[in-house]
Amino acid sequence: MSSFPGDKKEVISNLQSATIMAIEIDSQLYYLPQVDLITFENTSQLGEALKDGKSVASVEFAGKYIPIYCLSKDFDLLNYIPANRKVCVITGYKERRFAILCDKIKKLSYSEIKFEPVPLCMESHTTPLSSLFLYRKDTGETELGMLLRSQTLFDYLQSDLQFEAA
Amino acid sequence: MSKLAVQSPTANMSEMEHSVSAWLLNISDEETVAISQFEINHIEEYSEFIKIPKSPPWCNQVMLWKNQILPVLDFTKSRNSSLLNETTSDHSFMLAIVRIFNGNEQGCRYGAIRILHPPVLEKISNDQGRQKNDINSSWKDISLAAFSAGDVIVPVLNLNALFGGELKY
Repeated sequence: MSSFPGDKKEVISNLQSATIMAIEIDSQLYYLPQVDLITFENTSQLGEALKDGKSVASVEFAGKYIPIYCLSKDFDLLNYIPANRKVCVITGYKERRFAILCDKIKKLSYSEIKFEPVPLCMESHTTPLSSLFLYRKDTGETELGMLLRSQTLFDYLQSDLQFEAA
Repeated sequence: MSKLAVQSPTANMSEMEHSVSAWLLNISDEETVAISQFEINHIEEYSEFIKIPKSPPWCNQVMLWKNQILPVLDFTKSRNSSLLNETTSDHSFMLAIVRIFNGNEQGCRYGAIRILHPPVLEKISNDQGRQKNDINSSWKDISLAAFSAGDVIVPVLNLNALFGGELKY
């Protein structure tokens, strides 16, 4: 596999092995490198939304309340928390800490994953996706994985997002 | 699945000084575009697409082909089309699997373009040649050349630019 012409978005190195977290949102799996994960916890003790117009709740982390964002499986910003969002994934970019909600999270190890950028022709709109990759399931089938990075998530959440109507 | 014979990938349609052949692709009810005869790898019916969220409507799916991830361009999903939000996973589409040459002789990549009918290989004579400025559509900026076919001006697409994200559709 190789990237498309003019690809310029940085992706994580192609690794002989990678530990990544599978994040499930409404039956759709996305992946986050373990190095981008700070911690995760259940959603039983969430605080009120911050006054940033985008967060749906907050959580105390290292003595501060950080924003929690809730996304649909298509990355629409939600202003409510669906009942199946049980896990709060805390991540961060530079000094900024934030969290997103998901239904389930699972640690996975794959060997010989080769990541490639989202093709440039698919990038006309802002996306939190960093790269795509292929992996082989236990059944032998090849599947597509979609990788999030803390930086791309941060950039996406800082963009001109509006809440989707419930 | 039908496959088309292809020749050595050496030709370039950047100039239309000579008589050349190009594939005409019906990419929507209203639009016909052309690509170099050497840029089609084969034609294939395909039905298993994977949606990539927050991508442009005309390029929001990929397909897995020979252990590669191919973006699928579908211009039937124009801004005003009723197909815009259609989930296509249940449908089988005819696709042109195209070769994307980057001009440095280091091989090529592949992409897919949805077509409505089998492509037609048209021999284009010198007197069919038109200026790129004659193209009255989004294709002008990513076209290598243009020619007339009947009443319409057909853009000859630069696939490198098209798949490289330069189309403002």
